[in-house]
Amino acid sequence: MDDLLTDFIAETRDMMEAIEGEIIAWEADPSDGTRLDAIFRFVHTVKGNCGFFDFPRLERISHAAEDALADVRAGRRTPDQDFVTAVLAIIDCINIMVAAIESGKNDVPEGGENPLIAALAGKQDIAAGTVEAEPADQPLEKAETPASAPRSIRLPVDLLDRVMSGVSDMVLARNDLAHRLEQAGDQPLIDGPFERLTTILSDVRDAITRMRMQRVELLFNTFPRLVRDLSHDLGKTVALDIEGSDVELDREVIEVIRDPLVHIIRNAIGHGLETPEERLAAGKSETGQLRIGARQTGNRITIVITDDGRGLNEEKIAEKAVANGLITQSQREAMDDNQIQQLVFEPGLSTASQVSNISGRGVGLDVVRDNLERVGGWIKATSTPGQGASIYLHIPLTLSIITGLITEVAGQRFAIPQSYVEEVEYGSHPDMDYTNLGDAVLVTMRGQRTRCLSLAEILGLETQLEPYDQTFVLLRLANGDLFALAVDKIHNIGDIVVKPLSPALLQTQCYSGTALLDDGQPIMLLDLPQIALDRGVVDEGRARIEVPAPSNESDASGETIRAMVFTAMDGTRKAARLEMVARIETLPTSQIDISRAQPHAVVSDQILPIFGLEIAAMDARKTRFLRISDGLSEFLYAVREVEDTAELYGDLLPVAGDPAVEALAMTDGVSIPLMNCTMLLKAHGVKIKHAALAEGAAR
Amino acid sequence: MTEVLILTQIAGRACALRASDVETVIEIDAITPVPRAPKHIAGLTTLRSQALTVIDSRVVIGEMPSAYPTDNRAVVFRTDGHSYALRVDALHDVDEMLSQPEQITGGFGAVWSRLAEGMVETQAGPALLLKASELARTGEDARGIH
Repeated sequence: MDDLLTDFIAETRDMMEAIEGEIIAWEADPSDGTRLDAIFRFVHTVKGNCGFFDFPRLERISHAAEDALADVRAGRRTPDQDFVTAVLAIIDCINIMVAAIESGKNDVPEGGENPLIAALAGKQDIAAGTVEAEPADQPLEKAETPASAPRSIRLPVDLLDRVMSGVSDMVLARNDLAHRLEQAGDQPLIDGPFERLTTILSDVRDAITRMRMQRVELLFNTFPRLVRDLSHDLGKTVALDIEGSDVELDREVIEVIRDPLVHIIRNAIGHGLETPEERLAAGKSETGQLRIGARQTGNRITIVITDDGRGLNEEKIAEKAVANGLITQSQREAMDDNQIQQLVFEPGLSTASQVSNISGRGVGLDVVRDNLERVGGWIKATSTPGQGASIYLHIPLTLSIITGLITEVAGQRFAIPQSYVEEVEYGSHPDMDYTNLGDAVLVTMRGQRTRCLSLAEILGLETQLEPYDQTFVLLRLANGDLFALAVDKIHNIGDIVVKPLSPALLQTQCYSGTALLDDGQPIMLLDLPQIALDRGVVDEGRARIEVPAPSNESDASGETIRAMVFTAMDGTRKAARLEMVARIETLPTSQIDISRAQPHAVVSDQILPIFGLEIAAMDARKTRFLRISDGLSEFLYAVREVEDTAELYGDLLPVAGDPAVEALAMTDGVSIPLMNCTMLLKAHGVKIKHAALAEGAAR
Repeated sequence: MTEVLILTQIAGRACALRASDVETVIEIDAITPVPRAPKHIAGLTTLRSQALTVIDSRVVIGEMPSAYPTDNRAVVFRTDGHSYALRVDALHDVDEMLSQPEQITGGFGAVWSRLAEGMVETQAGPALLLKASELARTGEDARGIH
C-alpha cells in the first residue's frame, strides 16, 4: 500500500508539473479546448486515484473541478475570469493536500476547500473566500520542500546493467588489491581504510542486486485480462485469484517465466476447466477457479497455478505416450499416477483431442520445462481426477549469480552449479568402490551404484591421478537422473557471476556459461545436462521417466528425510534436515565469544549467534558447528561430533513442549529428535548478507 | 572525414581493421584454455571484469599459430553481443584509409575473400581490410576448414 501511495504522489506531482504551462496558457485564453482537456484529465485522474485511497476531501474538490470542467467542455458553461481563478485555486489546493499526504501531516484546515468549491459553482466570489487564503498562501511554501524530497525515478535498464557491471569490476579490483596486500604483509596504515572500502563495496553490491529485483506483480497484472479474454472466447466463467504479488524476482527471471506462465494459464482454461454446463453436471459451482500464487522459500521462488477443473486424464496421457513410443506398455504398467502426470512435460504430448486456437499453439509444456531447466528451475504437475490440477514452477531467484562448486582437473578449474551436487566423496573413502565394465565405469557410494564419468575424459584432458586419488561428485540433474563425475580435486564453493558464452564456445556443448573467479581468472561453467545426454548417461525422454522423482515430496507415511546425524554438546544424538545444513564449520575455541548471554562467533565477516553450546563440554582448542541456513538467515549450532548423513524414516512423531524439536524420527531402528531448524532460524537466525557470503566463501 | 584503420600483421600478411570496429587493444598476459573448443579459439582472457573469447587469427585462415611469432597483443572487438580478442602477429600502426576497399583480379584466396572487404591503400602500402564480425562468425565454418 505504501508503494502505491508513493506512486500516486509521484504521479500527481509529475502531472502537475506537466500541466503547469497548460494552466497558464489556458488562463490567457479560456476558450482554448486542448488546454482545457489536459486540465480536465488531471483532475479526473486525481479523482479516480482518490477513490482508490480513501482521501475524501481530495476527492471532493477534484470531483467538483471535474464536474465544472465537464460543463465547460460540453459547452454548458462559458469560462470567465472568475471561473479560471476558481479552477486554479482548486489545483493549488490539490497541490497542498498532496503535500500534506506526503508529509503524513494532516495540516490542511478542515473545511478550507468549501469556499473553493462554492466559488467553482459560481455561488461565491472567490475574493470573499477568505478561508482559502490560509491554505493557499502559507502551506504553498511548505509544498516546495517535499517536492525536492527523494521520490522514485525511472531508469533505463541498460544503465542499471552498466552500474552493476561497474560494481562487479570494483569487487574484482578489490579482490586483486586484497591479494597484493596479503603478499605485502601487515600494513596498519592501509588495512583500516581497505576494510572500510570492503564494507562499503559489499553494501553497494547488496543495493545494486536489489535494484535488479522486480515485483512479480508486474507480470501478474496482465493475467486478469488474459483470463477474461480466454474464458470469454471459450464460453467459460473463470474466477481468478492472485496471491503473492509482492514477491520480488530478478527481472531477467520474470522474462524467462512470462511465456511459460501464459502457456500454463492457457492450458488450464482451455483444457482443465470445464464449461459451466459440465461443471453444474459434475456438481461444482458454475464458475471455475483459477489460482496463481507466488511464494519465496530461501533463494527460490515457487509459483503454483491451480485450477479446480477436471484434472489431468492419466489414462489418456499414458495411452498417448505409449502410442508415441515415449514409453512401452510394460513401463506404463509399472508407473503410478504421479509419474504419468509428469509425462505432460514430455515432447509430443498434447492430450487435447482437438487443437483449439487457445492452447494448441505449437509450443508444448516440454518447451516450458526446457526453458525452466535451462535457468536451473524445475516444473511438476499434480492432479486429482475431477477436482483439478496444479502446476508447480520452481525458479531460482536470480540467474546471474549462482552458487558454484569449483573443481579442478589436469590443472584447470571448472565450475559446477551447486544445485546439481548431491554429495562429494574422496576416492580413498572406505565406502567408495569403482568397477570398470567394458568402457563404462560404475561407482558405488553408500551402497548406491551409479555411472561415473571422468571430467578429464569428457574434456579431452590428461589426468595424472588414479581413481583412488580422485574426488567423486555425485550429481542429480533436474529430472532426477543421478551420475558421478570424477575430478582431480575440489577447491571451494562460492557465488559466481555467470556471463553468457560466445557462440563458438557454446557449440562445444560442454559449457553453459563463463564466470570470473576472485583473482580475475575466467572459469567455465559445465553444462551437466548436456554432458550427461551426450555421454548417454541419460537418454532423453526415457530415462527421465524411469527414475522416480526425488523422495522428499512423496506421501507422508513412507517419507524419508535426509538428515545430518550428530552428537550435541549435551551428549544427546540429534538430527538436522540436510538441506538446512549449509556447512560444517570448525572454529578455534578462542574465536568464540561467550562473554554475553548469547554466545557468538565471527565467520566469514558475519557475526553469527551460537546455540547448543555447553561451556563445560567445549574442547580447549577447537569447536565444531553446523551452520544452519535456509538461504535467508543463518546461525551456528555447536556439536560434539558429526556422525554422518542418514535417511530418517517412519512417521514423524510430534513432540509436545519442546519447540526446538520438530519431531521424533527413526534411523537404524532407534528414535532420534529432529531439530526444528525452521523455527530456530525464524526466532534467532541472522539475515545473510549476500555479498558478504560470496566473498567469505570465495576466500 | 577519412576513416581510421588499425594496421596489423596476420600470418605474415598486411591486414587492416576499421578503428570504429575496434574497442581497444590489449596485451594478453594469460589465456585460460577451453578444452574441446574449436581450434581457432585460443581460450579466454579478461579485460576488466569481462571475459573475452580469444580468436587466433592465424588459425582462422588455416595456418599453424606456431609458424608466426606474436607480440601477444590483441585487438578487442564486439559483435552480436559478445566480446572477442583477436590475436595477431603484430600490431603496427593507426593510419588513415586512403582508398575505398577494392577487389583485385583473381581474388585474395577463398578464406581471405570471405573475411576481407577488399584491398585498401594506406601510408604504409596496401593492406587487406578485414571484417571483424566475420572473424567471430568463423566458428561454424572453422570446423570445415580443419
